[in-house]
Amino acid sequence: MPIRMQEQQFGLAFRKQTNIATANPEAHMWRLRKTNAQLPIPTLQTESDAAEYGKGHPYAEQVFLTAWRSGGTLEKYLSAEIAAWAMAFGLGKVVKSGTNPNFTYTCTPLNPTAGDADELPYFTTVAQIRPGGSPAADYAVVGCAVNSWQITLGSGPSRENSKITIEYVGSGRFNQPSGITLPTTLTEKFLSNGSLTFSAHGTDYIATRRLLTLEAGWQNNLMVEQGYYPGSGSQNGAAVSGRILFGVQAATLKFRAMIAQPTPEIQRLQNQTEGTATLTLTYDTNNSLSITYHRAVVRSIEFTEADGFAVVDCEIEPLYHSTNGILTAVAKCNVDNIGA
Amino acid sequence: MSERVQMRAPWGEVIEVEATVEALSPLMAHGWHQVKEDIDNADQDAGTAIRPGVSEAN
Repeated sequence: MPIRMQEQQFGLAFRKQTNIATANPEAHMWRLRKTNAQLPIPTLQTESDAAEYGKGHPYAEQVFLTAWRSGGTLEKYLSAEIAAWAMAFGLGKVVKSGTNPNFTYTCTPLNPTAGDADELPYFTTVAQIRPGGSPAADYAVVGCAVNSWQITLGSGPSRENSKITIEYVGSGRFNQPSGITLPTTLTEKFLSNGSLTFSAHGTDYIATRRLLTLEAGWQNNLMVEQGYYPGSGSQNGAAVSGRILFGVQAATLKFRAMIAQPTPEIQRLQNQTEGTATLTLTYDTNNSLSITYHRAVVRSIEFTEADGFAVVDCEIEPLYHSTNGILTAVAKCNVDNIGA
Repeated sequence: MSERVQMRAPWGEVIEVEATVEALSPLMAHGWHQVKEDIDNADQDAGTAIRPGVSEAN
């Protein structure tokens, strides 16, 4: 009997695991809509003995189980809830303020140099298709960490123009069946492209109506292979990861804007003018996302064309600020304990 | 007016600050964490405690 992929149920823990090996309980789960079909079902890595000597021939005689891999990509329309989640789990450091039902999560990247952890908070995802007595798929994928997030804002009237893509990597550990009954689908507050405010180096790109697209991202460069160390653990005869360290992290920010007279980005590139950049998306007073880059320069510009208009593609390089760090994200939403 | 939160330094000092980007960013970037339990020594003046904390971390 064929199964349509829209039958899938996707669960994401909004609280962190106590450690990499212990799954979040059912009470920590969201059921989420998403725009990509992929489910994070673990894969089993194998190796054959074809290259080994002593068999009397160069062909494979046996296949060996080596390691479990897990992880995936979550693509969603951008909401206040998933924005808060991505900042908390993707950056790693969270200060919560506010009271029920209006919470503010101030998030910054972990800084091991200052004594912060070198592992991001771990979370569980759930992948289900027709869960119940005889499910087509029912996995709790344990020990996941955010590798990257990317917010993409475009021009147009549909939700497609405000999206987030989150890549995550799992430890390979899983529970099957998951033992989790997902709640009803989370009601999310959509952060539309029309709500954006964006300024950089003193220029208000919304007031001048020059902005066409904007992309803001964060990359943790997770060191996945390094997690399979001696003693990292095993499940069903194959290795699993015991830690997922983050590597060299990087923030990205780029935008496309109509060319102005004069185009200020040119001079800023030549002079390497430093300044701040801030973007904010708002649903209402209690549901929003704001990201502040404390020290930014123009890294590159390229003149091109869009819909017959002259435009400039501008890439901003967020730099480390000795007092404030590289960036601060403030996410507001109605859900308590995100990342806690 | 923003809510106030308690923050603990890597060396154990606890202060209370406004939950704003301006107040929290210097602390969070230098190893300070939010205090989530009841702390009985959070009576220091945040205005005088933030700067020494940041300069020590630099």
